[in-house]
Amino acid sequence: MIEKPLDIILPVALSFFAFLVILVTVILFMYYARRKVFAQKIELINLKLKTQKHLINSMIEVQELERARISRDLHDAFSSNLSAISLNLQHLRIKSKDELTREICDLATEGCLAMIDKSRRISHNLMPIEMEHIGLLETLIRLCREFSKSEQLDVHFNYTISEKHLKFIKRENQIHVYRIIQELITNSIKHGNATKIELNLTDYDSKMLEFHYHDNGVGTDLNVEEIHKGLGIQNINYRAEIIGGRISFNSALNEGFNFSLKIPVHETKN
Amino acid sequence: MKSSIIIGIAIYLLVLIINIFGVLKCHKESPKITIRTLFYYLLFLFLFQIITTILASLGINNLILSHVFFILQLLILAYFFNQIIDSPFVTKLIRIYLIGVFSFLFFQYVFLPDLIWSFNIVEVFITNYLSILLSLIYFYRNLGKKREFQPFIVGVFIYSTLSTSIFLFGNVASFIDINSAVYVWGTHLLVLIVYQLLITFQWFSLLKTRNA
Repeated sequence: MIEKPLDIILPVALSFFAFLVILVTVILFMYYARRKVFAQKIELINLKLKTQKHLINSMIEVQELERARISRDLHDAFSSNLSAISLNLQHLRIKSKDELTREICDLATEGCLAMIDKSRRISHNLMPIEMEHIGLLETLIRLCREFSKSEQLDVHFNYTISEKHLKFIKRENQIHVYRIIQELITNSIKHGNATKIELNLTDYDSKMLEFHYHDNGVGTDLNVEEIHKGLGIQNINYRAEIIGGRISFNSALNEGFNFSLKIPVHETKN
Repeated sequence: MKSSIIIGIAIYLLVLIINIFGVLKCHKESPKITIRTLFYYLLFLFLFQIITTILASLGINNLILSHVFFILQLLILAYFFNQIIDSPFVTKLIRIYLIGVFSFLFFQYVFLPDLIWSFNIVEVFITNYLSILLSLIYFYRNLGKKREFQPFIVGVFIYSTLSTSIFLFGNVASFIDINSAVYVWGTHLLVLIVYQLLITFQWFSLLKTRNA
């Protein structure tokens, strides 16, 4: 039936070629399918991260709104009422002829003034309302001054730029910068037992501003995972991300804490 | 071996008939062009099997019908895939492939007319390869998604790949041992039964989804 060797070789070769084509097709499919599955997984992770980031942003936003509301309420209702009570007590003191009543009035007025001062401080900590009028730079100066006054702490704030450099930063982003600095100082007091803090604000380049922060506290071992998971550092991270900033920090035991925040200025222009 | 093949054909026909009614039921519950195409495909498989079995029992060479079978199957499956894969690229691919296949077969039969009376291995490969390619494209495009016709397409892929491989292997084996053909047909019948069982699973899952 089969006379020439070609009659055998050709169909066998064709069969092997066909096998090969099927095999290559299946291998190619497996390769591309794996790539697609991998890409889908990455996309899913990115989506999760994006949702998480969005959630955190919203949380921070809500937190800021709530802080502003409490701060306003404290300032408007609490402080105003206390001022009114204080005025009435003053009036009562003037009118009263009884020495004991005058003494009680003095004590009560003193208490009222202390409470007004406290509520003003709490209100200011919750939301630096004056930032809108005086700007970020002046608010930071006041924050440093406030900490230097109230704690056993010396906070030095050096800056080589003026307020006009900062006016290009969005108002909500200015709040985030303020919160980051506030968080850093609180951490230096709470965890670092620092007595001296240095904060420098410089023009990093034409597009970036740099905050450089250093304290003389006990420092920390950054290799410990808990440090990175700490709420304070996470909060700073989230806020820096929201404003499109870049942070870096380093520390070692008994060597204080160094932190740098670079934020874009012109990109966030209103 | 012959009696085993007869039993195999009987099982295959039984599952095929069940599938025809099952797919018809699916189509009645929710008329769709894809399910209708599947129904016509099964009907075609059934009629073809009956005709070839009758011709074989009468001792008439039914090999000429294999050409009709492979070409019609290619057309029906290409039409089905074109319905389920919504892509202009796939439509274009199917058109170009079909034109290429028909042109090739036309010239092959014009220049080698003797091939009509024999088993054409190139025809088996080129008519089945499109189904392999399209089922892989379907899987690729629907990775991580819900696939309505998953069991059937798995069946098409398994059937097309194994059937082509079996015929290609049979072609090589026949040069070594002429009696190997019966084993080739036996194995092919087994693949056909698995294919039909996957179609059973297909209409069953379609009915289940509709009733859920």
